Amino acid sequence: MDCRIVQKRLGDYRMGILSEPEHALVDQHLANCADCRAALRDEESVSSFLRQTEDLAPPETSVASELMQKLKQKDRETRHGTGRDSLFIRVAVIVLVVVLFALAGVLIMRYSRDNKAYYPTYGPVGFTWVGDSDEDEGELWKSLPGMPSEGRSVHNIQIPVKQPDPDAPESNGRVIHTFELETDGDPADGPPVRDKEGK
Amino acid sequence: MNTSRELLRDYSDEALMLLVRDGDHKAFEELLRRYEKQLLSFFYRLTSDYDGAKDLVMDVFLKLYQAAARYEPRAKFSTYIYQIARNLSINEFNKRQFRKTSSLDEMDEEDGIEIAGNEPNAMEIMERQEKQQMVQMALNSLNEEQRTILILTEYQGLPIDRVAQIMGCSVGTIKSRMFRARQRIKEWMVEHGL
Repeated sequence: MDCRIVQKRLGDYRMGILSEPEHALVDQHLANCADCRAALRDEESVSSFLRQTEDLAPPETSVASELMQKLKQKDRETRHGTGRDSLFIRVAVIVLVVVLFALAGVLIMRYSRDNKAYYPTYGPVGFTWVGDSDEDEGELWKSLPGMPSEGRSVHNIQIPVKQPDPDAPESNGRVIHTFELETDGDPADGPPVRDKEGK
Repeated sequence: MNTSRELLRDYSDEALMLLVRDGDHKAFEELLRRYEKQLLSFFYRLTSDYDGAKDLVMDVFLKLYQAAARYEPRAKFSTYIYQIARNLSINEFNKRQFRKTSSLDEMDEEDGIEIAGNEPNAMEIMERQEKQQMVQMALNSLNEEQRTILILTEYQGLPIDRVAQIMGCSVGTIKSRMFRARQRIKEWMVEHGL
């Protein structure tokens, strides 16, 4: 057995946990090797140094009584639900309910808005275009979202505009123009043709 | 149901813990009585803080009590309770750095804890307290793992395979860390002329 292997086993040798054959081999090596005997003395000096510490005196008041009081308190809190855990659960439930209501409100508003968005484009029967003058027609017509190109489809649509035209019939202070557009082909391709006069 | 105190002295730790699981408070007090001092010693050597060590002992038993309903005697009870202690010591170590005093002057009077025994001579008391502090400083020079392993083997007297279970690693790893810990203590002793 060489010194490196013996010195690695000195800890186990000291604790008496080597197997019998290994213990005998280490014994034999130590009898003939001064370096390894010195290493063993070092090991033992570390142990003696560490064992200098005395046993700690037990505390004046044992933790037992303090601990049992704490446990009784915890038992009481669990039974009456006044502990931090039950308060946390109650707050969490309230927050969850509020969040669900808010989410429902947002969804309802969004649904309503989406339905209104379709009105200017394909409204129900009788919609008419409301604008400042005839010259505005082409531009405004092109700017409407989803509207087809000129001459293809006909819709009557009504969009309120701020500036009134004294010569035109008024509806709630707004100018109303009526446009009729013609649909080519199958009415299924676009909205149906409506009356010229709109309300 | 609470079994009488005298009877409980004959019960094994595992049997007591099963009684605690069934709601026996006297069994819990008996376990407390058996492990309080050694856990206090373990935590004090780890933290160098006597009051902190007392709090940690209480935390161990609180955790034990809370976990009682789930207890199954899969390993020795001492392994189980030291695993709880070890986990708490890691949390504590992460929360606040364990004091690493580098000289005797930095350790104040509060660190001179009471030593068991009858000491008529004040000089002898001081000498013993100084030795205590030296050993504590040497332990503080180790990292948390090395310190824990050395304390469990040298002071708590636990066998290597039990220490390996508590630390959650192999016997070979424990032996190698213990070897490095002892080398470090030896170096510290040489640095301080011991």
